[in-house]
Amino acid sequence: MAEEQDKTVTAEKPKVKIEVFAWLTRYVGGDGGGRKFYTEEFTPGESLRTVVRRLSRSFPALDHILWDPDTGQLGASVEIIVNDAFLGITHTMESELQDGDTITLLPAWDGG
Amino acid sequence: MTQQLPGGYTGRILRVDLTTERVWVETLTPEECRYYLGAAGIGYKILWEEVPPEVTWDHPDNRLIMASGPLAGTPVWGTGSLNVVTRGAMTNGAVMTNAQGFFGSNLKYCGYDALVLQGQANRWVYVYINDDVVELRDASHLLGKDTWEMQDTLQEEHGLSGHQMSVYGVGPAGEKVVRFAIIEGDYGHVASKNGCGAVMGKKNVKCVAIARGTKGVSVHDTAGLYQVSDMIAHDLKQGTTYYYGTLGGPSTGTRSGTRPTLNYTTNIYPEPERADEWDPPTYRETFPHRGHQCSACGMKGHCHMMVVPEGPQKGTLIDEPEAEGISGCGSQIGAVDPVEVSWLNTQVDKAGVDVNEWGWLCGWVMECYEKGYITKEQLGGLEIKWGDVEAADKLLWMVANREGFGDVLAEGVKYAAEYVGGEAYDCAIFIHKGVSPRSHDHRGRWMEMLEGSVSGTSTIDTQSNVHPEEFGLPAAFDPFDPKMVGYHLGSMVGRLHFIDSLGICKFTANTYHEFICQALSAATGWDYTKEEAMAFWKRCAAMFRLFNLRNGIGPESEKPSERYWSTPVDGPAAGTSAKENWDTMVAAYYDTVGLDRVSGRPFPETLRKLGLEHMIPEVWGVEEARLGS
Repeated sequence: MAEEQDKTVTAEKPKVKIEVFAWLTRYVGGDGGGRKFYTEEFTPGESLRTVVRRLSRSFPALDHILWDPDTGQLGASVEIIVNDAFLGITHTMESELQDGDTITLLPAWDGG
Repeated sequence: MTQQLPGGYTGRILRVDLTTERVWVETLTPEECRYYLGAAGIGYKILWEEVPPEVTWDHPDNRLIMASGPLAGTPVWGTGSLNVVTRGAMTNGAVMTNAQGFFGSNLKYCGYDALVLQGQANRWVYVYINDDVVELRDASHLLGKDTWEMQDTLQEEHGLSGHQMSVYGVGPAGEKVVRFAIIEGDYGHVASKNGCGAVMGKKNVKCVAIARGTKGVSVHDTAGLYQVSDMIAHDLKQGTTYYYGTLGGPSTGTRSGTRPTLNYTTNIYPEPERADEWDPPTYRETFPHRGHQCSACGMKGHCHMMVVPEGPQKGTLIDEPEAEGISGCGSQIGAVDPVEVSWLNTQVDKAGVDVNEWGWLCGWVMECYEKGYITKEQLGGLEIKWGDVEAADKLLWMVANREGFGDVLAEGVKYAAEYVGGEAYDCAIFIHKGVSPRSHDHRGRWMEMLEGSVSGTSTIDTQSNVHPEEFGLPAAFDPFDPKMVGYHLGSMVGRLHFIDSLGICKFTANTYHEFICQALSAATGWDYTKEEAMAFWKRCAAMFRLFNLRNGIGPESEKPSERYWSTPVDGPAAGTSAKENWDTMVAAYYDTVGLDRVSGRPFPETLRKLGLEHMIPEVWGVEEARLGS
């Protein structure tokens, strides 16, 4: 089910893995189920916000839903997990990333 | 001279006194329609005026209000809602809980905005409504039937199949006054919270059978209402619920650790390699299924009926569970097989108990059994291990019929934990008011843990808002910042009272409030704004809070049990502590809403802002009212 797409891989630069989960796959060409994985290179010192924004710019629909158009901040429809911890525990959007970090983009949900 | 009613209203409240078997109609003025709006407003007014402290949940004079709102029966999607307001069996305080389906539109088409049951029948009856025909009929032949059999039987007797008749009532659990009994109807739609089914059962009412009616509904601006309905529909088509209902919740919850697992002992899914079986497209392929949408609803991916494809129950018709059913009958009790879990969820609906409380209760029994706090002998010889769906089903019917130890469990997990005591007590998940949270792991979702604890209806009455920027709130915030959690919740407190009072499903209201207000304006002819809506919902929240305070339910019980606010040992919220941040969260909420931290009362200034200054003498004393005037 998972799909691996490597973008411009170079051995020298640090990388993070970005998991786009379930409903959000719809915004990157999926069917709203499963998950898609992307690898993003980054320059040391770059923040979580910068790296996620770089990915989202490749997918206009994802970019639209991820960011609040008025404030540029993270929108209400998405949750982020970094290295299996919710945003706010080990990372904020301004935290610097480390080589090998894993970022998960999840759709927000509130139940039935 | 008769005043012209706003569109969308019948202006008629149907009253049924079960003791005297008297039936009558009360009327609403146009001003009352606008002030009380619908279910929540009418509900708090009746509770406050007619249910004094001595009228406990099981007292014959308790009121069971079954209401809709001005959008019921219109082309706006999902406008068949039944909203139930009563003094509930679990907290002995206010409850506002709703089910979808067709009850609300049928009620409107029969010519009523609300039905109020009061008194207690001297025999088992069902309430039959077909336009102006309102009768109490003998229900002895329905006793012992589950909720689906009940509807089958009455539809056949009346020759009204499908959507020609809705039947909303109690299963065996409601007949036995199980504290967390539900009111279920239209095959899978449930008003589940705070034991509203126990109230119905205590009144010796098996169900309300309501025909579709012939009176129709007139609105002020038909073309305008269609136009805004289309705008709402377009917005809804952007979301996951349109395609997959609430199925997205379990798969996302598994990944995010917010799906309750093994009674909060872990956040790791019991069989991780099977987690993807809950992926919505995969799950849908598991069952033959078709849409089973509610009144005027175009949400093609929500509310499906399915057939069990394999195993001992092969061929059985079941309804697709909501996210909470998948959790309460699934990961919370260690069950992972989609077919077994989905079948058990329908069994829970048929027995007539709340799937949320059921999950906490069953998971607690399983953990206690594993640890030796509850024995096989106590359970009448039943062995009940994590993930054993067959044993869970046996336990379910023990509870629903109050057989053996099921009689203790039928009082709910809080009472049962107090009864068993010792270490078993510390394993139970509940809010000290006596009510249970929804089937999530809220240790990673502090806002809902706070909401269930402090809300006047003891369940969600605010919830996340899909477009918070409409009200100047940030789209997202740190969910582990206790001040922001309290502020965010307090800023929108009572929002769902507005949605519910319109007679619209919360899922089809997951759009801009601007659109909802436009729909309300088109239906009624009012110029209804978001600001008026917010004033209304905050007033409702305050009145339900005051009702609880009058009945002795205050700040001391507004907190989670030890297990409920425990620190997760694994998963994405590992190490966070809602307990350590609780006082900060509550303080931020109280300050934002304008509540006194000690007594929980809305300050006099808060009441004045809400247009409730007339409540000040009763809440704060005559002197305070005079000082502020």
